[in-house]
Amino acid sequence: MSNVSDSLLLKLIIIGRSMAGKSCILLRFCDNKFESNLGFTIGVDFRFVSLNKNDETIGLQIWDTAGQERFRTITSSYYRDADGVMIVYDITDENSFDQVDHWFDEISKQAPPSVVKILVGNKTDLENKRKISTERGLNAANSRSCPFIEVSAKSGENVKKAFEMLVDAWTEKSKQHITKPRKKKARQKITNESFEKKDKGNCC
Amino acid sequence: MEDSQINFTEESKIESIETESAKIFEKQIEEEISIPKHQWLALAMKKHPDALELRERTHPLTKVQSFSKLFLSDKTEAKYHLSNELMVELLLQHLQFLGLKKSMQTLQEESNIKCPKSHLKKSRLQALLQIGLNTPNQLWEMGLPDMLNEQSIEFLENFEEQQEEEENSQNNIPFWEEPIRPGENISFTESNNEREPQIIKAATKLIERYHVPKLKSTTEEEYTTKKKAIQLRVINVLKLWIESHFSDFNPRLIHDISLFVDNTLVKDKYISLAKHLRNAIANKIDGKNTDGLATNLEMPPEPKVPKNIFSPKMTFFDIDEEEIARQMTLAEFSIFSTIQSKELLNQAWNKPKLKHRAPNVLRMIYRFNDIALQVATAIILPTKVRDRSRTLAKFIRVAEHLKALNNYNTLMALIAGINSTPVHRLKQTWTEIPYRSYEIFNGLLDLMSSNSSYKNYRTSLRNSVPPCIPYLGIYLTDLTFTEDGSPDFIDNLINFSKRRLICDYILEIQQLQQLGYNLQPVLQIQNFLEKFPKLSEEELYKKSLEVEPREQTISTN
Repeated sequence: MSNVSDSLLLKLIIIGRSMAGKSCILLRFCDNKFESNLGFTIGVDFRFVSLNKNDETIGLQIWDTAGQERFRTITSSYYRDADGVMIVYDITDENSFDQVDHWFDEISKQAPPSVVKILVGNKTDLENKRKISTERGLNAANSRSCPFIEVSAKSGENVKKAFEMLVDAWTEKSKQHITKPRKKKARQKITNESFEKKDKGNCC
Repeated sequence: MEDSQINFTEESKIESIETESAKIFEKQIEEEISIPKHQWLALAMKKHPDALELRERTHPLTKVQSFSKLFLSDKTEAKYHLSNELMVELLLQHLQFLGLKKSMQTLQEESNIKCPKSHLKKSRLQALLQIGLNTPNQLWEMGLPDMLNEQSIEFLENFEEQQEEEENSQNNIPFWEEPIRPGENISFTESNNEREPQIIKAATKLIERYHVPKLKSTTEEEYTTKKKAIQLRVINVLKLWIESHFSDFNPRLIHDISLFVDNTLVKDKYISLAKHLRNAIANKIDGKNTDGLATNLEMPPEPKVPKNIFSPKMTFFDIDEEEIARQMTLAEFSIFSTIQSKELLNQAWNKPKLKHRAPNVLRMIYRFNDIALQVATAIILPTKVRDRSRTLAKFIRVAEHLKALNNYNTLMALIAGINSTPVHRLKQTWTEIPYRSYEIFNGLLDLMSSNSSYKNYRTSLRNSVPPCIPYLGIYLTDLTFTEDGSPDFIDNLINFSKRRLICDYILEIQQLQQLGYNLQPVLQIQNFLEKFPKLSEEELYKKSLEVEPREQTISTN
């Protein structure tokens, strides 16, 4: 169970204010779709990406709340079985940065304690409109001891690196707690366990 | 005396002869032409298109004239308020609005006054009123006799620019701090007001397109055939617009389009098409809706009404789960079917500045969140474990029926409520429900799981036979990715494949809106369900910790 095999699958979620550019980051990461001239069709496996890291293939199942931010009641269940969370803000938008606190609170409430986080400042291509300095972003991340990076979904700068950093943070953390590595269908596993518990507790 | 009498009779005789001959003459004319009086004008205009053209050209003039006569009867006073410059500006605006570009240009050149560009965004009066709301004092100053001096015009222009900037910048309120139900303050009339400039602009562009310019390189023959093809297409677009999106039409647009139909189209001899358009508008105004919701001719199934339906003591457990699912579905569909295609454009539901454009999408989202909170509240409130698990099991059975009714949206809301952290953590409650319920819920969870971009749900939706209510959130996500993922323009040309993709999603929704549920509404049950208590997320979490404290959950772990 504890060996990190190539069937390793991580569930990542991207959160942030609605216009911070979450969907663009994902699009950029998945297929460099941003530059494609024609429209694309959203395939079923659109949000599944595999990442090669030290000769290992890691499957990333990425969930993005883009468009569903207002379905407040639904998001909490998505945090639950997440391995990593990417919190995105827009460096040209003070409000999106103010809301970072809110997202961190939400994660601490809803997500498992094992979850790894990364703070991402998006839109570095709009340097002249910048309102949040790199230091402020870095400080916010440091105070919560999570990594930080600034990216541009438009130019593609650092987008891949951001996901790699998140995966690195996860492997680092999982080494410390070897007890909880995740394999494919981890979710079903957990529910099966709770079944067994349930059976012991009750006989109907 | 006699003479005079004779004279008199003679005179009357002559008179009567004269009137008689006049009558005969009139009759003759009538018989010859037989045109009722009220059609004279139309016929004359048809016979003499040059006269019609003149009339059309002078139309703005006569309008302004009658306007000033109506409101400022004294001529000197009118001059005082309406300076020459303003008059010309008004004329220019009107010419631009009618699409008479040449006359506008000539007038611009001759008077050396430029057409105010703000016209297409909002009228000056509107801008003035807005200033009035913000800064009453300044409006008062501007209303003083030296009204349109240079200073105030500059101020007005600055204000307009400022407004534009403000509109572009984002709203400062985070969305969870917005009023809980802004949807209720939103009405369609408001959204139409906001969109009015855009709609008028679209109409102006269409009419401009109709007046095809002649390129020097084309021959007269080529030009006529090309012009005709383009004009027919414009008419077709107008027809489609009137027939399928009449909610865009306000009195002003109706007036302008009617003017275009009655004058330009008739002049260009598109008589039958003009008649068709006129009828279409008239039908829409009369509210004759030819394409209503498809209704089922079969009788709806007998509702499962509890015996104590009229009793105030009726509880949640008295009502059959299937009936609960049915009534929830009817309520949901009544909102779902009102969603207009334009609500789904430009991610309006997510942008604070555009939110008022998507009232029904927001209503659907608010209802979704309400249901989820109500479900969680109903499960958490009972103090006894047995009561909590009984409620939980009941909701799972309701969810099962919602699935059978293809009501994925409410199903998702129920799952969101049951799966929310405050309910999810109630280990004792979960162990008390029947094994079957647990299995069913896991099945539903799997169906609506976000894995592989909701693969299971998408397949299930595709295989569902309507009537059907899809989970709206996925359309919203897909629309967001499509909007963000591809550029609007490629080499300065509109990216049509992007528009087509967006159109596909909207068409899918429209298709599902077509077929309604053949169910009998039971108002008592609907009211009962709506009145379910609802706590906030914070309160729910607190209550959840109260009924099943944390220590206990740790010990069972």
